[in-house]
Amino acid sequence: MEKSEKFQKKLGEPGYLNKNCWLIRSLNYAPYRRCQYCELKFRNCLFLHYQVVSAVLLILILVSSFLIERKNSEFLIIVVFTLVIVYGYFFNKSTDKLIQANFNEREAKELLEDFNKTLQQKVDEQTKEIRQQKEEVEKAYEVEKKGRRLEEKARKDLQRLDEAKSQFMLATQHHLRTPLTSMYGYLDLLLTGSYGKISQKVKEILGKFQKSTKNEIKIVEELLNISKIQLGEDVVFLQPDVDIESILNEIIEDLKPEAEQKGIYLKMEKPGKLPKIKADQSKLKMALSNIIDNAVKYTEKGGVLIKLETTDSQLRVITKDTGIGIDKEEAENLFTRIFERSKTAQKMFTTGRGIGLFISAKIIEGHKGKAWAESEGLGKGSTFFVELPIG
Amino acid sequence: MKKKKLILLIEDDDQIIDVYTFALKKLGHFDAEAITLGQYVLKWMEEVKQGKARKPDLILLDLILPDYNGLDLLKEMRKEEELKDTPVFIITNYTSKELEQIGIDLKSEKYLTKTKFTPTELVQMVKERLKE
Repeated sequence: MEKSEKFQKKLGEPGYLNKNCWLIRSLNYAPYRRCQYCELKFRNCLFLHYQVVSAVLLILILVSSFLIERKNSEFLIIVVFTLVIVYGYFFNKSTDKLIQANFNEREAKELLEDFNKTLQQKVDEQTKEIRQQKEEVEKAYEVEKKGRRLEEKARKDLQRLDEAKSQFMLATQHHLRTPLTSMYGYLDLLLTGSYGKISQKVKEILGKFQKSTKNEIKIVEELLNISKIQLGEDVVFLQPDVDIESILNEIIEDLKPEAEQKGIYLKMEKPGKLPKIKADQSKLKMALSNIIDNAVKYTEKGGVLIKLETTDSQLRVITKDTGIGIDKEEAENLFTRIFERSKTAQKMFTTGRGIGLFISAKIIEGHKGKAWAESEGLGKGSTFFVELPIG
Repeated sequence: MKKKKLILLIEDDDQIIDVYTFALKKLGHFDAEAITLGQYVLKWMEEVKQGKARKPDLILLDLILPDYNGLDLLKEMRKEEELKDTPVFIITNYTSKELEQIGIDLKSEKYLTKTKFTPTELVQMVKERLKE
């Protein structure tokens, strides 16, 4: 081992083992093993190869010289001379080969070094690029993480807002309706004589009390609906196969006493069988009730006619009254919140909010329908149109 | 004497209890009892299970109680053999289609907003439901 190390230091880096080297083959070596004899690799084996031959020749020369000394033969001189030349040749060859091997090796070494340097440079560049990309990816990931955190925060805020809205609606509905429930209930029991007989006078007064309470309940319902709309809660829940005729019949039943009291007519005209529509029954009743109720309220003479018309795709509910009529400009704003009742309307009723038709418009919008009003002018009656899609 | 049918009112407002129980007794000729808190309803359910309390013929259930949500109580009731088929009318001041649907899923028969009917009308609805 020591010998080979010394030799390696002298010759430089060892090359690869030549499998074809006769010495290596003769000594039966595997490709990656070192030469057992000299513990050296290819170049050195080659050197050894020629050196062995040279050494043998040298021994022959020495022996021959000795014999010449002894025998004084000319033939032997020639042999020695030849041996010297051959020795010189082999020695030279081995040195050449060694130099060539060294040279090749040095060249290979230099090429390898260059290749290594280039490779290292390329690796460094790639590493730098990868590092940069890694930083960019990390930055992008941080941004995405931040985005996701913001999204999560926004979602939680929305959830809290939704819960707050629900809580608000819950509290408002509960607190506004509860006292009205007991008022409405007690009045009903009093008027039906459940608490005992009451005088006609008391009955009359309680009747007015009940009417005000009913009105108050209606106002609260409208305000709660407005709140729901403003909070963006679903206004309508559509169900299939709703019979509009039965809804209108119910409304007429509700308003008939008032119409009869005023001496005006309230009737419905329909074209035979009506198609069923997709609707929110209770909300649609509220919407149509607002419109027909208004028509009855603002009519003193004549009456209110509810006409039903159908086309292939639409169902129209037309409410025509012979009442106070609407100014053309006001007719445009009738279903929007900014509507304020005309002076004539205000004279008729000091109470009233003008928002019932706004709610009707929102409900009809929820049914994918349209609502509008037309009038020839003040004192010439009005016609309200509600158009709803069939199917 | 024929035993009167029992209507159970689960409600926390005193005045509403007064109005409805009076109407049910006076106009409907029913027996009427009221429970005001969710925890008392659960105790009562145990008593019904053990046969210590009378099983009602119909339950009027409010949704908003101080300690419990009415629908959670209804869910518990439907788990009990004695109460799983008892008719239930939800009477509430909170209108919500979602809650109405949950009520339907828990086999409630009506979802009534308190301000939309009088005690007389309520008694009429109960009578119609319990008609033999």
